[in-house]
Amino acid sequence: MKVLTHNMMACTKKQCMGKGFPLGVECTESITLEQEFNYEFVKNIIPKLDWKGIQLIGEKLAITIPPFTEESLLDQEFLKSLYHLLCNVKIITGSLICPNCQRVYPIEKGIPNMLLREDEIYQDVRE
Amino acid sequence: MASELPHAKEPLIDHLTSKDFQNVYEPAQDSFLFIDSLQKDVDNLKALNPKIILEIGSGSGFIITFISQLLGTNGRYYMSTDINPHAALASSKTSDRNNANVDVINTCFIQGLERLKGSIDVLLFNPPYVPTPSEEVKEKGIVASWAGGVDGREVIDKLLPQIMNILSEKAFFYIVLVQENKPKQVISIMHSYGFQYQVVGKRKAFNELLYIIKFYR
Ligand SMILES: C[S@@+](CC[C@H](N)C(=O)[O-])C[C@H]1O[C@@H](n2cnc3c(N)ncnc32)[C@H](O)[C@@H]1O
Repeated sequence: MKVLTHNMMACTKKQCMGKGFPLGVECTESITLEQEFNYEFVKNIIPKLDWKGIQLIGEKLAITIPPFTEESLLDQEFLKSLYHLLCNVKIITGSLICPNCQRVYPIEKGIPNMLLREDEIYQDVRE
Repeated sequence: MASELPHAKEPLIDHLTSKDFQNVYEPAQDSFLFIDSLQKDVDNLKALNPKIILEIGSGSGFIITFISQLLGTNGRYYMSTDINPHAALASSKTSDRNNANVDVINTCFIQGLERLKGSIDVLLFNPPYVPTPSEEVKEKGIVASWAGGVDGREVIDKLLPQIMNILSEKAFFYIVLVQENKPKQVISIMHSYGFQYQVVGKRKAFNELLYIIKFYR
């Protein structure tokens, strides 16, 4: 699971709608990919990002991104490190934790499992 | 028309064995028609210049890997989902085998990817489209790759009302339909959500009449 994917995620439970992000992160194994920097991509994605989520996952992965300001858009170094974090850092083993209901979603072999169990879906609909 | 479709260069799937295909949908005529149709539409795809490309139900990963090779990975973010964990893993392996950089999520449609709504520029779906008894739609594993319930439409119809919120303004949505799915009905449902359509692929394969339909605003 790449960092950008994490930034687009939220708890799947209906009861957590609007409250289920950013998901907490635990990471025991990660890898770094080598995608070349792309200015257009990062410029396009910035308005959609949740900066709290970026800070949270950055801390867990020990990659610090300075706080976003208006000047950041002109700061080549900022954009490069942001792009790198979003697109090149991938969690292989770990878990995601809903800040609202504490549900844990496992990440194994690079793939987060966001599926709820039958009983959870049932409970979710009733609540 | 079918014979005019160019044959697209297929991604490598030699890392998957017959054992994998007991649990994961093996690329078949629908998958082949899908990639041939994307190849045929490549100029429009390049003009669209999509940033976020997502496939729902990627199975072996054949289609999402293909499109990443077709459009290139630089400046584009490829994702796929599958409800079947074996399929999600197969998709990830196929991506790795072809250096495609696809990020895979094990989920139903795009559940859990709440914040992606409105950002997907290309959405791809080769759904479970075979007409079956409704009970089969709930089944897991390989059955979920084809069991479509009444008219083969039960899974498709769950996704359609979500499409307008999922897609970005300029996005393309490509879907496989067979004659039994009543493609005209699907087109009119999508029309009611403000989408135009184009048939970008059509082929007769054994007992199926397959269509690849592209929807856009
Ligand atoms: C016809 S197969 C297509 C596989 C692959 N895309 C291809 O074309 O070769 C349909 C796939 O959709 C998946 N699927 C079925 N229902 C789904 C759902 N609600 N959400 C995500 N994936 C689903 C199945 O597990 C299966 O892998």
